[in-house]
Amino acid sequence: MNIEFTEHKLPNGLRVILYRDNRVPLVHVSLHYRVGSSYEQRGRSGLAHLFEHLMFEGSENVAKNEHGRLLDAAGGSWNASTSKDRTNYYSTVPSNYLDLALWLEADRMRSVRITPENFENQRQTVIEEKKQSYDNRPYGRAHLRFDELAYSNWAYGHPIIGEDEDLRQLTLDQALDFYQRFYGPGNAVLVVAGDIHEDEALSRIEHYFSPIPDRTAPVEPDLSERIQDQEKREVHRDALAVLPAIMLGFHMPEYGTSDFYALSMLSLILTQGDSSRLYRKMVYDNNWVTAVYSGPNQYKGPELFTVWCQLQNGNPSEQIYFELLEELWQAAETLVLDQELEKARNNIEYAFAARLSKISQIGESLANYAVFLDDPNLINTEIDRFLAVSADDIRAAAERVFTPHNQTAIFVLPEGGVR
Amino acid sequence: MRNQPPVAAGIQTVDYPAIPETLLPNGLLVLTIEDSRFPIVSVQVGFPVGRVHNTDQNLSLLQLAVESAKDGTTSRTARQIADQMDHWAIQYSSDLFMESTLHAIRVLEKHLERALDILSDVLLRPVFPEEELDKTRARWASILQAQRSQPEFLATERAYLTCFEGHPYAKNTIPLDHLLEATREGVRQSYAANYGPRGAILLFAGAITHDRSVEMARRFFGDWDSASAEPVTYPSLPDLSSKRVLLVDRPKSVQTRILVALRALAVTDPDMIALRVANQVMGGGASARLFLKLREEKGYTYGAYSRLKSYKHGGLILAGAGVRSDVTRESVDDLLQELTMMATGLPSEEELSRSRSEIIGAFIRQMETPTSIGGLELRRRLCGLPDDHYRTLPSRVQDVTPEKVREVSSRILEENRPAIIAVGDRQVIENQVNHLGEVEVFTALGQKIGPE
Repeated sequence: MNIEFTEHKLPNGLRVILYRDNRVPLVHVSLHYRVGSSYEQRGRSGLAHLFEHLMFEGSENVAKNEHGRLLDAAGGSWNASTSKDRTNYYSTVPSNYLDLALWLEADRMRSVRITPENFENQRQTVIEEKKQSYDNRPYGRAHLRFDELAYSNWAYGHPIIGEDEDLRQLTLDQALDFYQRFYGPGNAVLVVAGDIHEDEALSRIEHYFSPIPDRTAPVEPDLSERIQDQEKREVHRDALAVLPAIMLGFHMPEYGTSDFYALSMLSLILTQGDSSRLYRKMVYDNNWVTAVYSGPNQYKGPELFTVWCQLQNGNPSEQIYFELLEELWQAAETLVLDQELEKARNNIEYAFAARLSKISQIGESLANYAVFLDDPNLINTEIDRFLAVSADDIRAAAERVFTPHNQTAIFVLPEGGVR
Repeated sequence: MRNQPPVAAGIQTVDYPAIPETLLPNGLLVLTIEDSRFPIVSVQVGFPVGRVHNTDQNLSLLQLAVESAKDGTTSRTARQIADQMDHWAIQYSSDLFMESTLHAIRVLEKHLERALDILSDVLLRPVFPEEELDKTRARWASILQAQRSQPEFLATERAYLTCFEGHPYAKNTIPLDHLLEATREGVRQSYAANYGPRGAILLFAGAITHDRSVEMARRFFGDWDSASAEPVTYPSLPDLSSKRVLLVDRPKSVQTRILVALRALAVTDPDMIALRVANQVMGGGASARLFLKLREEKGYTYGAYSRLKSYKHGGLILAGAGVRSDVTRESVDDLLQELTMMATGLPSEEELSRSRSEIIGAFIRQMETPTSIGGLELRRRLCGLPDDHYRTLPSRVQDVTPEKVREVSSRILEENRPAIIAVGDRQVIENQVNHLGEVEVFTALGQKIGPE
């Protein structure tokens, strides 16, 4: 099934992608700004994510919390998220509310209004979010530490949620400066997907967004990563964890490269399903771990191929660590089997078909391809990149990446445990 | 002067589809939701069997039976099943709920027959090999232990044990010793006694016609003729005429997970739709009262919500948040005050209108894929909801009045007192909840250690 979309650019630089699908009276509106935690300055970690919260604190014509209230009253769903590379704001609404969704996004792109009280309120909210998502959760702090340990470059090494000390010291002026710099139309991609007529939708988009002058001249962050020359390893004591865990990572090239696709296919062979290599060895055959996951992320800059596993009670971490590494080294030495590659291809084919069943997923995919790889048509063609990966490609990529000096590991050991 | 938001023209509606059905001679009901736009078919097999069907002696048997059905059949080993499912990208899941069980697959249409061959083998001919059960038991023992490090799990467990004490609905979590004592024969018997075709529903959704569904059902499930579950005898619900305050000690916590649990309505109660609206007003999302008060006004939490759980004979409202430890007292007091206000005051017209739209909007979004429509239809049938339940849902939601919201809230609060649960570091929070009454203190393992 081919996704036929159209692309447009407004004079102020806003990139617009439209996709028509009239099967259900819903429309998905997604606005991606090319800014994430990697664009932050030292001492201001957490600002990109805090600003995502502040975007709901009001604009010239919209009061605090009114953004969500109006979308809720329309029967819509909405949210936002911040990654290392981008921040997105999205809503899915009944299609007769398309104007409302566009008006709300345009108003805050043009004229965010944040009072000192609201800034402070959201600072506290984010501090509690950090506690709930990391500090009060088993393995949470180790997860934050992992990127910091693995990356030599602070841009990707520091946590998206921010350091406690920085969060306490961020100011409203810094937030407004961040907005001026990164939240103009020239730095954004707007996707409207669903029950629309393209001409009419484009005319409404022009009506709401064209008057907004571009004000952005963002500087792309330096994401370059020094070549790691020796293994990094740490042990973390975790008072909230019950079972030990291992986090393992290897530097690898960014999203969109041939190594990315080769190692994505390898991650399916290693950990997708009960028949995968690592699941079978670590979980099924030997009961060493309760679960194991692996794979690249989806970063604009240097990636990590990560492996995470939670150990079953009583198993020594060192032995499990060695067993994990042995599987990765094997992938670097020996070709994967034909049937393993066919299985991975079948799963890719399924995954690409499945994500087209909802307009929200189509809309987010179009936006991601535009922001990360500057080519929304990859929604139709990226599958070929996965399917073209050969056993030789996988072995060669694994050989380049799974080397001892390129690896970073954190061992999490429970301290205290559940009583 | 502010510009006003654009006004929408008209009201969007969706029609709940007509769903063809065929009853096979063995009692299996076959349903189809046809949607050929995507080359995918999902198959959901629902059973009217849930955690409540476990005997008191062992609450792990049905969970093991459901989870381990894929671990070997009379003609395939666990390894072969995994190999084949993964090779053909068959997305398989199995879940045991309070009163139902669901086995589901999603697969590319071109691999459907292979998938059904495996699914029917798993459901009709599981053998529960001893060595597979040993592995599952060992893995689960670790998982059950790890669950006890999660504050949300500990709070929810305490809510069910308190609000449904002595009732089958208290069987919401598995005690570790039950798991360790489960035998292969116990698992096998539990499966054999409960999972037959009578009362079960086989629902196809996606790129398939009903004729083909029936043909597939006959071919792969037509010979199925094992016993089905006997209905559960439910005792009356326990008396909850006094408030209870419960603390689960989780040392070194940097937040308190607070949860107020109130026993609520059965899924078929005529007031259920009004209760859904009331819950939406109070804690259904980021525009609801709890979120606005505890997060947006006070900054105590990342998020505060309430949710409804509804079963055939009763339900729960669970309202809670993860809050800063030093404001545990203020947060619990605010939460209780919001509950009381639902029963004493009327929601504003704006709150009511928004809450109605949120419920109807969520319903429209569920109508986007045949698989999610299938999920709704299975739930409707397994819960015993009327045929027109979803067709009339939008109009019934629109008919809920402010007075009705207050009346149902008042009914809930008058019939039962709340269980107020706090999970956190006892040394920091006990003196922040003891103004509410005598505090019952538990360890994370569930042992009662206070009052001393």
